[in-house]
Amino acid sequence: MQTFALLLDSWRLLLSRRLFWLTLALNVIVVLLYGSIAITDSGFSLFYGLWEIENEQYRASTGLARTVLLPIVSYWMISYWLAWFATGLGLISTASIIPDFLAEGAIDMVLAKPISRTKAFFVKYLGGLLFVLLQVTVFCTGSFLVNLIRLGEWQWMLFAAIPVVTLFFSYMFAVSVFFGVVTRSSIAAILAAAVFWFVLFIAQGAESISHMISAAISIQTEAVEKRDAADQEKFAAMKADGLTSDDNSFERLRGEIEARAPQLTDLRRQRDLAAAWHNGFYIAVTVLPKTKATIALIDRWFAPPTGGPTSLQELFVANASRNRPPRPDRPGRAPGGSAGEMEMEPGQVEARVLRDESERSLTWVIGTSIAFELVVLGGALWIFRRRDF
Amino acid sequence: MTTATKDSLSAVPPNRASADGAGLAIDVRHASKTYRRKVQALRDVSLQVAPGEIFGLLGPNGAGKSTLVKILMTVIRPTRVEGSMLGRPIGHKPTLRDVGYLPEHLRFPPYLNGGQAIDYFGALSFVPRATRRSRAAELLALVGMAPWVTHKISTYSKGMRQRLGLAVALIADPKIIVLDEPTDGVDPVGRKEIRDVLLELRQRGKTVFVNSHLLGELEMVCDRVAIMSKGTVIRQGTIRDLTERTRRYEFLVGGTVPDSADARELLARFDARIEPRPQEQATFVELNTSDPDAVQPFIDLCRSTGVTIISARPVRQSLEDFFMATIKDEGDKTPGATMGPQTTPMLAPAQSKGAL
Repeated sequence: MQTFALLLDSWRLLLSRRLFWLTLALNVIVVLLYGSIAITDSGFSLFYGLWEIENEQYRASTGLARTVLLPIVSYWMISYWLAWFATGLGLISTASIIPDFLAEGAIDMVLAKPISRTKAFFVKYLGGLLFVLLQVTVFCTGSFLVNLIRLGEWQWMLFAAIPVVTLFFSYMFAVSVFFGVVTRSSIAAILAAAVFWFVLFIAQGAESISHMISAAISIQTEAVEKRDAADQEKFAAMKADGLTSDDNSFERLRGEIEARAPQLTDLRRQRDLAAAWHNGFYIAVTVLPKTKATIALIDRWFAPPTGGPTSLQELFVANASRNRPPRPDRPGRAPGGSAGEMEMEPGQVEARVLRDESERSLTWVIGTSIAFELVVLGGALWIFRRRDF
Repeated sequence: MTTATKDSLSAVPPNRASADGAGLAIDVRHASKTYRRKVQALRDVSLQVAPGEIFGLLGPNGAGKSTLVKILMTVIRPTRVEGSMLGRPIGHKPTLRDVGYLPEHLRFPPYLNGGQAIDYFGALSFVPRATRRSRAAELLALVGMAPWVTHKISTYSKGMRQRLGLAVALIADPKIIVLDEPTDGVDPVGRKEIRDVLLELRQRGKTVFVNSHLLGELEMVCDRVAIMSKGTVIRQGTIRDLTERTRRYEFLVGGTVPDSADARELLARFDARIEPRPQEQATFVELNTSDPDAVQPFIDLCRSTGVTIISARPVRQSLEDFFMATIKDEGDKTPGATMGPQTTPMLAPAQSKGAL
C-alpha cells in the first residue's frame, strides 16, 4: 500500500511537470518523423510522401534501404535521441524530486508515518525512474508499430531499449539523487549530474581513443612480426640451400631483417606503452558507469532477422572493408617495403575495437555500472537515514 | 465545525502515570539532543501525557519544543531518549500508525488536491482505501474544507493548508494527535474552529499533544502544560496547579485604607500591595491569598471603619503572565543570561506565531 502510494505520488508529480509533456510530445514527433520514411520502388520518400527521393542503390528492390533504415532506429534514434536528449530532459525534470521530498514540512509528513526511511528513499528513487521509463516505453512502442507497418517486421527487441535506456538514465539519476540528498538543492543536483555525465563522456572517450591507438599499434606490430617471421623463415631456408652473402637476394633479405629489428623493438615499446595507457583508462572506466557500452547493448541485441550490420557504425566498417581498392602489392606491405610504413587494412582498427568491445561481458558493462550506482545510492541512503530534518 | 464548551474541560482524565510509564499515552524520559556535538537542543527532558488529555508544550523560540516533537515522530534522531508512546518504545515505527502529526511549516505536494493529499497520507498509514474515501469527506467537513476538496493545494491559503493538515493528521483515526504550531497562519475564526476540533477530539477520547507559543488561548483547551526553556522542562502540571500560587484577591475601596495597628498587621499578613488611585478617589488593595475565608477580616475591617468596598474579586495569574514570570526567573538564574530575541516569547496575538 505504501509503495503504491509513493509511486502514485511520483506519477502525479510527473504529470504535473510541463517538461514531462514536452518530452513526451517530442518523442511522439520523432516517432512520427521516423514513420514518415517509406521505401519505394524508385528510392524512398520522406514526410509521408511529400518528398520523393529517387535512388538506385536505396530502394525497395535492392534491400539496402532496409539495411539503412533499421540502424537508424537502433543507432541514431535510441543512442542519440533517447540516450542523450530525452535523458537530459529527464535529469532536469527529475532533479527536484528528492530536494522537494526532503523539504522541511514535507519530509516530516512522510517520516512521521509508519514507513522505514530505506523504503521511502528507494521507492522515491524508483519514482524518479518512472519519467524515463514512461518516455522510452512510448517511444519504443511507437517505433515498434512503425517498423511493423512500414517493414512488416515484429521487432520485439526494440523493447529491450526500455530497460537499457532506463538503466542508462539511472546512472546519472543516482548521482543527482546523491547530491539532492546532500545539498537539498535542485540546481546542485542538476549540475552534479551534468558534470558527472561529462566526466563519463571524457573518461569513456579517452578509453575509446586509447583503445583505437593501442589497437592500431598492435595490428601494425603484429603485421611486422608476421612479416619478420616469414622473412626469418625464408632466410633460414636460403641458408639451408647454401646461398651466401654473394647472392643479391640473400643479402637484401638479411639487410631487411637487420633494418627491421630496431623498428620492431620500437613498435613493441610503443605497443606496450599504448596498452599501458589504455589499461589505465580501462580501469577508470571499469569503476565508473558505462553509458556508451550500456547503450551499445541495444546494437548487440538488436540483430535483424536477415542478418547484416545492426548499427551505422558496423555499417560504416562493413562498407569500408567492402569498398577497399585492390592492392597491387602483397597485403600489409608498402611498395617501399619499410616496416615503419606498413599500411593497415581500412577499417581494420575499427573492426578490432568493435570486436574487443563486443567481447566485453554483461557483468563488466552492467554489473560494474550497477555496482557504482549502488555505492552512490548507498551513500545517499546512509546520509538520509542519519539526517535530522 | 463542531463546538465544545469549557465544561468539557472538567472531564480531564486522571493522570495514570506509574513508575514504568504504563498507562500513559506519552512517557518521555531523559530526552537529549545535541547537534554536531556542540549545540544542546534538549537536555534530559522528561514529561508524561495521560491518555485522553490535551497537553500543551510551551516555550520561546529555540526552547527545544519542535525538537522534542520531532524525536517523538522519528523525524529527528535523539542523542538519548527513554520511555514510550502508546506503550511501545519511542522511535518504534509501527506505533506511528496510531499517531497523527501536523508539522510546523507544513508543506504539501502542490500538485495534489485536498482529497488526494488525504488519500496519499492515509495510504502511508495503512488506512484501507474505502475507509480513506469515507473518512476524507468527514474530516474535510470537520475542518471546513469540504468545498475545496478538488482544488489544487497550490491554490490554498496558508490557513487552508493548516486545516487540511489537521484533517490529514486525523485520517488514520489516531489515538494520539501531535500538533506543532497548528494555528500558524490561521485567522482568529480559524483558531477558534481548530480549538473546537481539539476539544471535540478530547471528548472522543483522543490524546492531543500541542506544541505552540499559544499561551493565553492554549490555556482555554489544555488540561496540562509543560514549559520549556533552553532545552529543559522548567515547569509541568495542570494550569490550575501552576497558577495556584499566584491566586489573590483584589479590592478597590473608597478613600484610603484604615491606618490602625490592627489594619497594618492584617495587611502585612497578606503581603498586601496598596496602590492609591487619587483620580478615582479610591485605593487598590491586593491580598495574596486564594482563601475566601482569609479575606473576611479585611472586609470586616473596612466595614467597621466605614470604608466603602467598591469591588472585590478573586484573580489568578494568566498562563501568559505565569509563562513570562517563569521564563524571566529562569533567565535570572542563568549567570549573564539576557532575554534576547531567542528567549522572548511572542505574547501579543498580532505578533504571535501561532496563538491558538
